[in-house]
Amino acid sequence: MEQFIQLLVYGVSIGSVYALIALGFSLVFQTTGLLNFAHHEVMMVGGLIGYSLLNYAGLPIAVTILVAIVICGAISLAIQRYVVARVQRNGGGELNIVVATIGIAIIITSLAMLIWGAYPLPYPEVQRSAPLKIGQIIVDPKYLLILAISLASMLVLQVFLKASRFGLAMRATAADAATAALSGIPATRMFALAFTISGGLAAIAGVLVGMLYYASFDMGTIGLKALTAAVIGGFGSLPGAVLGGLALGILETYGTIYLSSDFNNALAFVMLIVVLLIRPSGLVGIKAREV
Amino acid sequence: MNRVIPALGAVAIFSMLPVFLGDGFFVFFLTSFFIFAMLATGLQFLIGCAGILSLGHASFFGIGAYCSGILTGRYDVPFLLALPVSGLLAGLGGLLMAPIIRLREVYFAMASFAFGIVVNEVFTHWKSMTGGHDGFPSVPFASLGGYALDTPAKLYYFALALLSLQCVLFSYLRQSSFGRSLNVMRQNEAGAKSIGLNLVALKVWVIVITSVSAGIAGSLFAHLNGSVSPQMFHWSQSINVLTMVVVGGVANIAGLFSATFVLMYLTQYLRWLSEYTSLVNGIVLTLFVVFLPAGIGSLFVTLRKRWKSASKFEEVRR
Repeated sequence: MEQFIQLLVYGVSIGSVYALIALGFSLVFQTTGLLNFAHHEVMMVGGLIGYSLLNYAGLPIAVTILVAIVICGAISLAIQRYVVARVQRNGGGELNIVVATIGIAIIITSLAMLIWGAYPLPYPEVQRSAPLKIGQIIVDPKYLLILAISLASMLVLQVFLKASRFGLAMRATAADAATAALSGIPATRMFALAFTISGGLAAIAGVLVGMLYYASFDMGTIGLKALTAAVIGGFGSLPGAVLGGLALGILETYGTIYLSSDFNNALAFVMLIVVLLIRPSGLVGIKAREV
Repeated sequence: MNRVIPALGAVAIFSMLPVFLGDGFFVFFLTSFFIFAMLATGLQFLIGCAGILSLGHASFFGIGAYCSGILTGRYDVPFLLALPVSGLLAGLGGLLMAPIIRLREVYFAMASFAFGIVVNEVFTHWKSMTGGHDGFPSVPFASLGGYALDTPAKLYYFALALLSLQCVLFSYLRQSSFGRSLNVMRQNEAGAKSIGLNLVALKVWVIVITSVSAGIAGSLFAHLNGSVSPQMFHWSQSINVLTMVVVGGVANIAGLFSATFVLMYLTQYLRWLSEYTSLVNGIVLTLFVVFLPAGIGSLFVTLRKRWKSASKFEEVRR
């Protein structure tokens, strides 16, 4: 029983990181109707930048995350400005954009490998403190810190979307870009904003993944699992993304311990296919079928 | 007719090549080029004709390769039986995707990507059958009856024959009523439904056909290499093939083959480039989607049109 609860804490903590990445995927999809297949690699860049800042510059974790947010937000904005928008201007559909962002993802990954090398880079211990004991349950405080940071980020996002004028404008564009444009909300700006925010979320998630495991050029696969989490929850729905992320984190943690770690990587993708088969609208319910 | 003659010419030139090149590595390279050209033709048909973006095409390639390799290597099944069986098994794999096919484009792209990853995990973890991470090491030479295709040049001719056959089949399909229905479906799904086309059946058929062709290419690939391992069918392989299709263009076979050749040549022969191979691939892919989404093939078409109108102009002047 103790192990069960302990694992739940780990699962929720990992799941909250998945949820952060999934939120980025879903936010872009909700606002622009596009699948950004480079999002998980922006997350990877965030993790590697976090490594450099913590390890070489010795910055505190909060500053590290802020710097990573700025850089990854800029990268994501550049992807929207110089690739996605251009493909759209040339009359490319959503599939062209999937392919274009795949190209960007390959470029980012190979550049990261050239810059940071091919080996996993473990973060310096951010918070060196004794394991917390609550009754019989022993928890590494690292996981609680990670959970706290991701929950705080989600809260900030929520406040931004619900309480600020920009957030309102973005939601309006997401609901109906044409009508929003009629009332003076420039859709292209909102698209750019959605990409930038998703880049920022990816940066936070990247640093957190680095704290959880390590940073490396191929950590983007973790972000891909988060994409499946977004679809499982209902692609384009923000509560769905959080729900899907948590579900994936918890299932994966229990699956590794109680079943086998062999299929840990496949689990997320099997879940994706099964969900698309049974309930393509996801847990929360977004229209996915066409034929 | 004006498409048959260049095609026959190309086949003639390629069948002369081994005479001059002997059994060297270049013939081996050309054989693998034929195999990837087969794979790319299938994906091109899927994307260009049916408008379906699959990000897991290499998984069918892998199913065919493993099936043929294991059947001939472990169970001593003759190659001529293993080849169609691996095509069929890959086709069955394609049929597995059928329930997902009714999803909207982007969802199908994601699902096919996930499918590719799951298939690769099966290759890696079904150790008793596939040999796990190290792969299945002992695939024998292909043989036709008692005649073993034991040199690169012999397999070269077999691959060339299959590739030509496949090109004929796909260009026939393109102008058959099936291909025309796919065209309508790609351009306007609602319109296609309104004239009574069964979109689900069309999509399932096109997936199965292209999977069969990928499986047959995979079978050849296994016998060319003499071994199979999961890394060969990693999802990045699907993206490599996709890059060939995007660079070559979705509508033109000459463009596709030149793109396939150039991309494979770059990764195989420019050693100083090897560190940057994936970077170059990514840059090429992105540049083409952004600036020339119709691929090299579209350039060929425009050039030919220009040349034709120029010669017509000459005629008129006379």
